[in-house]
Amino acid sequence: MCIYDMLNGKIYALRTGLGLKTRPYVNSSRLSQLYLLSALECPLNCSFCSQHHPIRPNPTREVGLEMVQYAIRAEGVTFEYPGVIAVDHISFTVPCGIIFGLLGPNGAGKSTTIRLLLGYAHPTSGRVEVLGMDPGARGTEIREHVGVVFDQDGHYDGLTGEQNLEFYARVWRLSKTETKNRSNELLNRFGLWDHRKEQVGTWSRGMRRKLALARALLHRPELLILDEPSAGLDPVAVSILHQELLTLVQKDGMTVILTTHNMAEAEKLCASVGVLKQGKLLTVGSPNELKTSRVEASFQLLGTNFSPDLFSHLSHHPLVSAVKGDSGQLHLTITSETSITELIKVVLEQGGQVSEVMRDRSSLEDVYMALVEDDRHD
Amino acid sequence: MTDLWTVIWKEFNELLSVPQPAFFGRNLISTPIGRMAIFVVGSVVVAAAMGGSLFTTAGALFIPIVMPCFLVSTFVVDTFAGERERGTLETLLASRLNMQAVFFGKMAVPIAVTTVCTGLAALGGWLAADVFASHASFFPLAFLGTWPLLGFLSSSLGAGVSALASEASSTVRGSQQTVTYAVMGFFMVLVLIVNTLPVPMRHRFLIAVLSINPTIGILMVIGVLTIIDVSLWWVAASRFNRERLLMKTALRNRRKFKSVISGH
Repeated sequence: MCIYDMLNGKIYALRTGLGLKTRPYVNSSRLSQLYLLSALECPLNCSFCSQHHPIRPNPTREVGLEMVQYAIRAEGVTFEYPGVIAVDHISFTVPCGIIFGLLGPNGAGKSTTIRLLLGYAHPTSGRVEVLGMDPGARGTEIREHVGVVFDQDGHYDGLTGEQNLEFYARVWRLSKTETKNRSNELLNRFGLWDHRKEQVGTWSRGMRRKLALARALLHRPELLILDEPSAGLDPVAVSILHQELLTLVQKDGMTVILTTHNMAEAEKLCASVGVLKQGKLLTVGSPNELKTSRVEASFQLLGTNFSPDLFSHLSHHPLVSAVKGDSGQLHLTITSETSITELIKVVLEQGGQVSEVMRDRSSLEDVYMALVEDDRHD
Repeated sequence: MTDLWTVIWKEFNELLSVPQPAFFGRNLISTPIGRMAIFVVGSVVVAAAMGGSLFTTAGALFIPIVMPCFLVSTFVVDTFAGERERGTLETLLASRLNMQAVFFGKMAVPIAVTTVCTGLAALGGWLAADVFASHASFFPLAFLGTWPLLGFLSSSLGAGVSALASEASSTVRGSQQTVTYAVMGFFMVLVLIVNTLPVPMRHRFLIAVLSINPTIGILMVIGVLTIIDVSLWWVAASRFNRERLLMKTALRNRRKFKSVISGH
């Protein structure tokens, strides 16, 4: 079903399941300002309205009072350890319902940023909001709505897979029936059912990773934070994990923050990425935006008569950053995409015959490497 | 209270879990159950060897005062520093649990288990002493209550020291070393102080100690241990917070990483 917010004059779809889970979030204390739309009244004609689910406000599930469009908002956040600036004036926003990637080399400040989001410490300066709440003041409330998988799985090796889930179900105060149903559902979903009675200490890395994800999803969080989720997994397990993450976002509307060193993974999964280095946010945007925002462009020219004189001429040309190739092909890196026509003229003037011009598509990895390298040279 | 019971449930299950695949294929003392068994059996053997002097010699207090300290420290170090080392603490603290529930839940199980072990040792020791040295009369039963009480207080002391050591060090090995140095240092300083006293004063001190009524002596020990325990726990609990445990560890790792990549 949908709700009409009289205060803002907006209509929001309610996600079904436990409590008032909305995109954006609505607290039950605001119900007096909300008007529930029946299936016939809903102008969105969304799938939610076709199944009329009752609203069951759950006090342990209440989020902030304010309507939240962003899962995360960080404005000029700085965090200093004594003598070390771990996070340096970073600003970014993560809209609800996307996968956001935090990229960066080791020691870039990714983990510290995640810890600040979880409310372990107050930023030295700046402001953070997670699900519309200040982590410094309402860390416990935030953690109730967040599922986390760190680079270490965080399982108790002496306990069985089932016991590990049971413990966290107790932590999240799920009822016995809910614990049983949810554990069974997740163990089946991740293919761990047959191993549920085995001690986790005897499990493979892939199984442990899947259990960690199951544990993080146990309480149906709004926000999922994953630190290197695919590290150490075989390609099949990585593919399954990616599929699961995409399903969580597309079907359940969950927001996912992931840190990774795997650029292909970030490019495949993330709607938006931020690149951190030495505590600074170098850039933020969608992988496509980042790829097209590169000032330099690469082209491949196929043809004949590409002479050594032509290479020499091009290498000294002010519009060319790099040139390589042989008599049949030219790889040009140029300062601006629009200057390619001028350079083709140069090639022709120097006696070269051009049969085909191709734009080299840069990957997110190229962009990442360029950003990190540029920053190092600066 | 629900959160406290949740942590106690986990700690208890973890403490009593037997590593797979085989229990007897492993070193006995590497398992908590093995350590408990050694403590109880060892105490009974010592009691049998001491016979009647178990109830009359101050040296016998070594069993309910010093031994529980060492036993509990192995559990507490594992549950605090061990959790941090294995990466389970960060996941636990990323949940909604409050720090007091985590701290007291983690302390409660090792202390309860050690106190029960001390009680079993007392019962076993009492029976062994009766069998080997009572000459057909039973030794006083009050002993059975004193040992678990002392065991509880001394294991609380050991737990407090171990928790503090575990908060300062990020590895089990480092924490164990700190606890060992702390205990050794305490006794060395004690001996040093006594030895630096002038001889007549030292004699007067020892005579005063030996002439104390046993009941009053035990009450004094209980009082002193209680004061030390409360102080230690207060310090350990106040230092057990997310920022100290996780952000400072991150700083340590960051510095370690930088020193590795810079080659120093």
